Amino acid sequence: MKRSVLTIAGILALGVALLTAQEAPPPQPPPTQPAQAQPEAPRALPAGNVKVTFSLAPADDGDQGLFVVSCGAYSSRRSFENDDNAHWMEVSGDLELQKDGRLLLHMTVNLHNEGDEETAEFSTTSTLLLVPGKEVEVAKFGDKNLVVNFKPL
Amino acid sequence: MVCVSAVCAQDKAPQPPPAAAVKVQPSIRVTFKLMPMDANEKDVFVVSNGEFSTSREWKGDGSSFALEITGALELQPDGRLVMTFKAALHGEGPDGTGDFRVSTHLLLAPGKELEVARLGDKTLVVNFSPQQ
Repeated sequence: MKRSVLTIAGILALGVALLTAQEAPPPQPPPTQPAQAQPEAPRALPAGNVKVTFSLAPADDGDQGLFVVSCGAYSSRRSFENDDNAHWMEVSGDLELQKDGRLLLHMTVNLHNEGDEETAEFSTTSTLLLVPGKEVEVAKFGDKNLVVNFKPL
Repeated sequence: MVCVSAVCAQDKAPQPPPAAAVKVQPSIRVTFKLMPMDANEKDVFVVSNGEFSTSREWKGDGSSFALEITGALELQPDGRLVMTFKAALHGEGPDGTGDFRVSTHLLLAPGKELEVARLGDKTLVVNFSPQQ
């Protein structure tokens, strides 16, 4: 009888201990200071617009090439199509005017020509450091050279 | 007691900022022109303080023309305008079909015209002025 009482007391003590352990709050992480709102840093404005010209040399009659004015990302596309011919040219990329006045230009240029008898397609991707006003021959597109230059505005 | 606590908690809930604190930038009038202009051609303008789009389409005897412009603008504290936009010009005529597109990012000064791109035999010119 005495042994049974002890056993019951032991079970009760164990149950109370378990309940106490369950009710005890889990360890909390140390309190942290509320994050103070930082003033939003002003976004830097681009240095300025530049005019980038992409042309094919020697140029066909009336072909003045493509130009685009931008201070960052850019793209431009032209296409002509008639019963006999099709042509399209597209340029895209990103530019960044440097403090020394030069231009860091990322560009991709695609050119497509279709005629009665043949089709030609050319593509180039490049990164250039350009000096204002100075033309650079970037790639050979068939019998023409792709020429790039820029001027700050 | 519980109800009182709940009421107190509601009283302390963060309130939305007053309407006057919400920053709304003024409207801007942006004008797009295809130069040189044909005799009966008009410029395109749009007034916005954020995103914008505008388009025009014309069809005639054997020819058609469509111009579509979309973009977004943000006036800077110094009065200049940062604008991103896309323009698409499409023309069809007896000689063929032409399609011209440009997408760019500009920093504009008020009232100053800027030649942005060549679209076929036209040059796209952009300028803006704050709307009164």
